[in-house]
Amino acid sequence: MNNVDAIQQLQQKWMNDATLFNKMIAGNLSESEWKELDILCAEDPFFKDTAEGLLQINNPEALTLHLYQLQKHLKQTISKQTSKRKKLYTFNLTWLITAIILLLLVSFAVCFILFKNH
Amino acid sequence: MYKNYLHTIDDKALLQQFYATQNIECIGVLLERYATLLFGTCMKYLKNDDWAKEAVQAIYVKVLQDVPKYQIDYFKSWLYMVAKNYCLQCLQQKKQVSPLPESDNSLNMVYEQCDVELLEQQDKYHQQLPLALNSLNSSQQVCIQLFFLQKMSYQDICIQTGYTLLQVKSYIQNGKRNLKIWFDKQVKK
Repeated sequence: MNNVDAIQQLQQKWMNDATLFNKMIAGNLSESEWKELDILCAEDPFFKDTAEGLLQINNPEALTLHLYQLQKHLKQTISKQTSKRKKLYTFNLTWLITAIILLLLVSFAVCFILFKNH
Repeated sequence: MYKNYLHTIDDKALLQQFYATQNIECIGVLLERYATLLFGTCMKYLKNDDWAKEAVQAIYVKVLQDVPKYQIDYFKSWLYMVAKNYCLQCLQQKKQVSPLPESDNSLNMVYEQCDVELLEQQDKYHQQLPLALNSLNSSQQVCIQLFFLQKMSYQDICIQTGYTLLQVKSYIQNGKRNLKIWFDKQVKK
């Protein structure tokens, strides 16, 4: 396993396990976890800013609450946008079907009149 | 089933899936994945829980609007830039709105009164400080003493103690919080 893979694995570990950042805020990380975080911060400015930002949170439990609220908000935003798109799709489909039926009716009518005249 | 599948694939595959199907759930999964990093970054720049949360929510909306418009190859780096730029923009707007008038005498008097009360309180705190420091664990005690009493920088503390920069920041932050809890308890007694 090369260095890049190892760092990617570390990133996955820290992103998937929210308790690690909670532990960091509470100052309860083990020596090896501190080292992992240090490596991540040296490699990735996104992690560095995150660690520095989260250290400013006063209450270790607050992070869990904030993330829960953000997840809820994200789900609401996604479902709103999805239902908007669905509505737009249904609306467009209805108009398309109506236009085809109208076109067919008009062509039938024209054909019928031409046929009758001849 | 499909949602579970989205959670198992990597960022690049999720983006490809989105560009192929226009399914917005793909971006939702990506944003969920980076929620902690987004919140932490916003906290770093805005230094306030509520502002950071509002900023993350605004970034969610911006990302949902912008991803369909551009061809993004590396979502994480792109998201970091979006978040950072948004926070810096917020800070600039706050700077333009919030400067206090310097020659407001009534306000200055209130501040001076507060200062006197604050100084009296600080005197009490200084007397009780050795006791309060004993309530902290050894790492927090060392870092707090070096940073506040000996006025050392983070870097110097790292060199002296062998801790990493983040460890020092964490011990100081947690030490401060524990000291505050200790003093609050004393006030209640």
